[in-house]
Amino acid sequence: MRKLIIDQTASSPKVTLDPDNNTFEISGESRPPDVSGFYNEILRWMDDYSEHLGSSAQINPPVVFNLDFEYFNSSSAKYILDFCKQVGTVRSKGKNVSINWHYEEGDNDMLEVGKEMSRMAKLPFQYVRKGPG
Amino acid sequence: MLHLKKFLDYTGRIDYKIIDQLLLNLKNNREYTNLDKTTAKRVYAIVVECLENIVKHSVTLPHADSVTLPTISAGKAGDKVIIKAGNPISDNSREKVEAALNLVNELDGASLASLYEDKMDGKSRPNDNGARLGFILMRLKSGNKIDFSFTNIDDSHLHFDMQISVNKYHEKVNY
Repeated sequence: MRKLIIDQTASSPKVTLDPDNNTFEISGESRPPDVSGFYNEILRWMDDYSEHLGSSAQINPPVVFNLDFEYFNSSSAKYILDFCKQVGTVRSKGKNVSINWHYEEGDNDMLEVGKEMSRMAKLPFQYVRKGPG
Repeated sequence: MLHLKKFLDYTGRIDYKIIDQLLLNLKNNREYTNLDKTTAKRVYAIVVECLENIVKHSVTLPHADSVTLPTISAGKAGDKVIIKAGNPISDNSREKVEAALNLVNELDGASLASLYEDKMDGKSRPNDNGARLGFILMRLKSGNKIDFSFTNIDDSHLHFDMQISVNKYHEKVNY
């Protein structure tokens, strides 16, 4: 299964989707000028990975997607929700995949948005609070 | 009238590179960084939506001056943060923008949150008046209605201006 690595920029997050090293993370600020181009690449990768997982008997170790956004704009939000739904679909098929939703201590809105995304994606998230700095 | 202590003030052409620079300047501004984290992030989110709105919908006029160029500012005024944004638009865009903003301003908190979810889910409603996710988010984040106005520039163009007052986080949000 191929990996997807995208470097962070001022307006787009760092993406590390690396099955070989069991590292799955999207982190930083998300307001890419070409939001559909940026996220469609991620959604296509997730499609492929879902297919790959579907053909595997079991997942060991478990797959944890770490979503660690400093900020995302309204256009990105729709795609992030789509990504969470894809993870939810894989989980509904009995695969051991989950999402860790990271938020900074004091950033109550990011925590609340995570809870909304979790509900809309029908997928329980684990919430990871980061300390200041 | 309350004095506006600005921490963002720009008039000129706006593209994605300029947005990056303006946001970097904002993040380094002491007046901005002194805001509590939740208020600061709400202000940042609204400023980004305003700037992207300008890039996507502003028209470029040949006679560029302080009246016709896009503009953005943000600053503290008493217990609120005031964000102002403006840009020239075509006269024929007015009706659509006005309908979208009127709808967003009329909805109560629960209806607004419900419309936001539908938009996120890609569902369209017959009476949503083309309400944009960005406008909905501005209203939800600010806790206040969006003030807006149109000023004639010439026969086919208007200057569209918005003002968003953001409640400081410790206050109760009233829709």
